[in-house]
Amino acid sequence: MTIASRAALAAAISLTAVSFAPSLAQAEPKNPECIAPAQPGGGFDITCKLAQATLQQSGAVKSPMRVSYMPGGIGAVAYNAIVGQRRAEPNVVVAFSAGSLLNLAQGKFGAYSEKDVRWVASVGTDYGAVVVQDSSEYKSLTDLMAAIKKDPKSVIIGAGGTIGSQDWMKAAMAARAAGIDYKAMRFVAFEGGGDCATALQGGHVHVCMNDVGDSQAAIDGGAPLKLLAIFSEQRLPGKLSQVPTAIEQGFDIKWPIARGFYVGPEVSDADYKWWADAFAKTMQSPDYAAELQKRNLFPLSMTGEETKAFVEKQVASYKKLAADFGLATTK
Amino acid sequence: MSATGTHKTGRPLAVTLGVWIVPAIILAMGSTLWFSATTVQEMADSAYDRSLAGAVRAIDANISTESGGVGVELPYNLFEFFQLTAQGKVYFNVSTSDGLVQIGDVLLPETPNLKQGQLRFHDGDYFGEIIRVGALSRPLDPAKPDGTQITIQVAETKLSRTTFQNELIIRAILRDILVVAVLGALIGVGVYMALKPLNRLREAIDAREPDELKPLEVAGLPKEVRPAVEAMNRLMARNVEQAEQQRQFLNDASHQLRTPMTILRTQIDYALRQSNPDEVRAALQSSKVVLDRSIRTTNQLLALAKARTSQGTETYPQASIDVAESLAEVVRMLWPRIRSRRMDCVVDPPEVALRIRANEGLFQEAVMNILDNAIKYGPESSLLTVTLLREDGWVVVEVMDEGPGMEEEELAYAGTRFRSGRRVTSGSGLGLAIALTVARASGGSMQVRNRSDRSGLIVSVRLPLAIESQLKA
Repeated sequence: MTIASRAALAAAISLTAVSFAPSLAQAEPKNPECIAPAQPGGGFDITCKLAQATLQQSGAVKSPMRVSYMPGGIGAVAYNAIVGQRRAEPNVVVAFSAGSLLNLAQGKFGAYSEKDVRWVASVGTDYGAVVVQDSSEYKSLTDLMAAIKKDPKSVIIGAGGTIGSQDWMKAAMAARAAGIDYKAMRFVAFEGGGDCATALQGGHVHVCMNDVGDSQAAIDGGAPLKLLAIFSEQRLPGKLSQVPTAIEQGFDIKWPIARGFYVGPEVSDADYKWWADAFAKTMQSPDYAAELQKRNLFPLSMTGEETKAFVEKQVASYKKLAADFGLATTK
Repeated sequence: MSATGTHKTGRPLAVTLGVWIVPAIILAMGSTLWFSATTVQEMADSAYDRSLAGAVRAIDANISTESGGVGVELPYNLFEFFQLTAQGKVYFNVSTSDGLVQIGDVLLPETPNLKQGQLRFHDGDYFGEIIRVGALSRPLDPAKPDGTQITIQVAETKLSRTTFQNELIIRAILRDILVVAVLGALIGVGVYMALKPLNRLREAIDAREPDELKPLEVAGLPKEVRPAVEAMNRLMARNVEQAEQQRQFLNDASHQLRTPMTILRTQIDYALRQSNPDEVRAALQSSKVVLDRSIRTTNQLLALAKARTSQGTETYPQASIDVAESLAEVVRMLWPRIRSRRMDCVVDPPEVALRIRANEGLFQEAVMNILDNAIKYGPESSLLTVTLLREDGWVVVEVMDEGPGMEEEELAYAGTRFRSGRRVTSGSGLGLAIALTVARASGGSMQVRNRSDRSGLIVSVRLPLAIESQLKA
């Protein structure tokens, strides 16, 4: 679909809104689209797929939702596209994660700050996880850290995003906790956890600092991988209860990953509210909890202004963390 | 007896050749080696860089921007093929100039001075390994050349490349060493073969009896050596000739000395048998004449021996002599003898002083002997003429008498053979021999000829005129 036809559609929608007003103040945008700002198979993909499935199930969205992929800088390219060129597309929501917020805090999203988009909702939370090959010589996070401490060059750490990204941050925090110079780590960046998992299976990296959601999805899909540790407060329920937390293994690190959506800065208040309401309605529906669990995600429901406040609070705390690790931050 | 043993100060030819040729070969080999090492390095770099460039281009071709994002397909499958040829570890890094995208080995060293559209190669260090990096930078959106740039880096460890290069260089070194060894051996054989005739020559000389002076065989000797051997042969020929002369001289001299002794003995025997004192006195008188002649002959023999040994020795030092003065002194010394035969002597002096460089004693001895001969052979009341003149760089002293002269056959041997003209009784023939020897010792020559205007002999001695620098000395 071209920009021109999209604009025409938007015009048609607003005309419709005018003619059917006032009872239908919150008209559904046509051709709803969810942008996963990564390659398929990662956390953003899961977030969009969750929205795609549940929004329609709950009846909040009538027409089928399309999932598109815009990889580049763990959301950075998509963020720049939305703030730069696609500022007012009412039908588009973009997936974000806590990782996006950490990058925003470090200015890795270009010249823009967290105030440049409209935060719609948080739909759940994920947790950081350490993933290795099923046949890996590392049986625990302790093993892994011991190996890195012995010879930092010998372990290739893969992660979605480059130095300073949340995956790197997880590795750096673990390294620091193990008394290792985190700057000596051998680090390979990928466009999201999906690519890292692929490289991990090919043996090109030895460990991925991924998320529970995408890793478990891959394992469920038959990938010969296993989780060494999860960065949650307590053990997660269900099949994940087998995996020990990092805290249990002596690394006092918690890394919850909020997942949610934002829209362009010039999307109207009405459309913004429509999306927020749609997510609120969906998250209250009885099937939602099951859908979250299916995707190994956990509830963290927020919509509208509450989301905005949460994002701003997170960005502020990430700035502090980044500075702690000697990374550049925005003012 | 080895060659080095015989010539303690001389260097064997083989060593001389070695000293010149071997460094030349090593220098030449060294430079070709350096050249081939550089070439090997450049060629290997270029070949390996080409495959690196292929990997860079392949990653570039797999970057998609269609969705509006930057999608980079993981190049690991590609690397598996690449690693088959490179046999090292391969790293990659894709990044955009706005810093939004960074994928791969983000810690790879940055490529300096990378220009847009340019493929650049450089060495670097990645976690302690030496790597070779190939990098390409291009606009993310081809329609916007000044927009965001994307940089693709592919790096491989240099170990296999270095191993390959080293192997080639080692092979080149081995080849060159082999060439030097073969060349050295060939030169050695060549030198041996070239020197073989010389060794044969040496053996031939070593095998000779001490007095064997036959010429050496020249045929079969190398062209370069032949002149030396020929010169040696000439020297030996001169020795033979001289030895012959000396033998002749000794024969003659012993004869010349023995005869007066026999006469003396006969006369003394005769005198002893006489009772008349007058007879005894007459016999002793004639003995005295014989004895005088013997003394003179002995003196002349000694003078000749002196003249023969004078050449090049310090025993008879040379000095600058005014020839006219020296001649005048000789004539003065001989004047009583000239007058006793009522002869006259005319000396023709030159207009300027002529100087030669010679031993004055020997020179005077020579002139005295010539004059003595002239006095002896010239008839009573005849005239002796001594002429002194300059011919180019020569001083010529001519002594002319009015005697019977010499026969043609005798002229040819004058001064070289120990004999005197048959017509005269009191000469031993040593006088001219002394004059000739002295003339030669001073670098000159002597000529004897008959007068053309009347009977008489001209003895002409040519000596080199002293040059200015010698005069000052």
